[in-house]
Amino acid sequence: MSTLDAPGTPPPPPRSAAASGVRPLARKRSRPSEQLFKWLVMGLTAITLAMLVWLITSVLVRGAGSLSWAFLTDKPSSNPARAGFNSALRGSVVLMIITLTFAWPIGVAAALYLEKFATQSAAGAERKLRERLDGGARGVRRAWMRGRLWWLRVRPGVVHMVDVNISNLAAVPSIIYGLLGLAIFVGILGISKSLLAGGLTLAVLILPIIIIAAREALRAVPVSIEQGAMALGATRWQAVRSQVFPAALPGILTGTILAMSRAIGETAPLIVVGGIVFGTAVPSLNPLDAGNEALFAMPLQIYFWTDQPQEAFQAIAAAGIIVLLATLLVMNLVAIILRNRYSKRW
Amino acid sequence: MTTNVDPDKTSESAPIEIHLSAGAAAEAAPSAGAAATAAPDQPDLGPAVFQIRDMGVWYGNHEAVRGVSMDIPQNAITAIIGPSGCGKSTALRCLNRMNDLVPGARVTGQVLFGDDDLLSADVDPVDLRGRIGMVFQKPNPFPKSIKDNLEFGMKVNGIKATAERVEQALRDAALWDEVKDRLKAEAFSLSGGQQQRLCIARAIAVEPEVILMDEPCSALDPIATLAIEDLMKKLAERYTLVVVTHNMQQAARISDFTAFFMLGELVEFDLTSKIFTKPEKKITEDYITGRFG
Repeated sequence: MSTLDAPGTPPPPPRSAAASGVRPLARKRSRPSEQLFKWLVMGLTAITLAMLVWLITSVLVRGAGSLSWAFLTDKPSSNPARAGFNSALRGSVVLMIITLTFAWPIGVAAALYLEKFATQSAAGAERKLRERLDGGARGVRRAWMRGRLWWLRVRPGVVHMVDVNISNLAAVPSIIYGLLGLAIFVGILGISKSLLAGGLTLAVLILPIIIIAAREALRAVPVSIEQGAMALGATRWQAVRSQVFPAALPGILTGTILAMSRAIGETAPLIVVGGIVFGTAVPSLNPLDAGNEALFAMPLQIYFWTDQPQEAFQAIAAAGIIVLLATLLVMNLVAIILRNRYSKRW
Repeated sequence: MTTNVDPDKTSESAPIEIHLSAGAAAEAAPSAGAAATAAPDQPDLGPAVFQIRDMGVWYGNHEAVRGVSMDIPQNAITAIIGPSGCGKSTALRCLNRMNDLVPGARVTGQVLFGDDDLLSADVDPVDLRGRIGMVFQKPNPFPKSIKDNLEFGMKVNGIKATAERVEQALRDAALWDEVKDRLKAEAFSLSGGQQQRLCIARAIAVEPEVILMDEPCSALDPIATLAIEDLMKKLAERYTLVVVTHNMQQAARISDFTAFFMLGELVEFDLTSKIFTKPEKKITEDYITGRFG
């Protein structure tokens, strides 16, 4: 400062540290417990990674030799040299189409309702209903209004219960969903033990995952966007449909893909619904035929092969695992790209 | 309105304010008590667009605004000032029923807009908000193109979204020259001040009668603030503007009338020139001279 004020005068000589009373700075010091903890967490991470690497290499070593274009296009066979993965691949594709068709609209609609409509202030609606009731509504109209008032009163409790249960459902073991699918889709609805029954079961399985992911994506859109739309004279539905939902869509799709990658690897519920049957059929890719097609899926085929006594089947099971892992990798990659590309900073 | 200020409650918060507000409450009590139907204790400020009568707002059990009665004049800028938490934004949000969207909020009293009480349960808040626009504290453009931002409001209000209307709204908001070559660009690519002018353009595009502004410059730098203030003065020729601001200098610069709120009550409402030179109430003077707040 002094040099700026008067360029000609030299800066004042530094005063001694003693005069200022500032203590000298401490030297760098080793902290053994800190180091120990660092090595501990690194070691644990390494163990996890080592397991994964071991798993993948052992699968690659065993299965790579059996991987070929013919493996992907051949139908199943009792001869391991001729057996192919085609039916399983087609089955998984059809399963995913059915699962998505049922789980996505229902899951997203449920998320929209729970996040944007169920928790909104009902004070205005309640006041209006009361005024109309006091104004002397009669008969059916009166009963209907009373019913709506009752619903508005119990709604917060119901929504809370649904909330808790969706989180619980996402954690239920998948075999339970298999039993549920068997009881409802096969038992009650009389659908044959087919791709359709399997797809519906997987849809129920991933429904809570989709709902949770979609709600999070909707919640990530700032409320100021919705309020801004409503302040322009939009209804809540217009605000949600035109502004909030499009803004949340990339997040919803990311969550959906992750839910699908969960469904594509599920084995237990499909075993419960369809059983492990050996077949040489090739299912049609048309999802409308799914009700008549035997339940084929990648994890089921792999499970079937690993169960066979011949050594040669173990190799093609490994090849099947490689295909399944590659599919999962691609799905997760798409989800990551989608998230990075379209995620917004508000 | 028996006791305006609970002495136990206020004594915990800020000693200077208790003293002042207790004085103000004593002065305000007689007029506010009788204000339910009678004209408020307010000088004649010209034809009113809103006639607010004994308006109060509750958030659950907390009374955020109480006993507000005032007439907001037409085609002028009315500023609402007051310390943080005095209920000025809450009061503003009653005028286009935005408080309906807050769970647990309850608004009492009357706000006449023309001949109708806009707080009445049969008034359609969606239609009302098309006639009374709002600009928020933080610019909140939709995450879409500039053009889409303008067209959305027109669509939901049944106005045909033509290129001329888009241009006119952007011109009126003093944004046209900056964005005319990139109407398809993302609204988020604009600067903060431009985003706020886009929000104003979006509000103007639906041809409202009144524009409410809730601290429209508080997230902006001084230069952007200046641009918005110039714009507000221009808009006041055609619209009624009600502007909440925590910035007293801004109120003094732009507004024709100023309302001073304190602890959820309207303390004083008059010509801005009068409020800032010789206010009626001691507490108003203390606030505008910076003795508290």
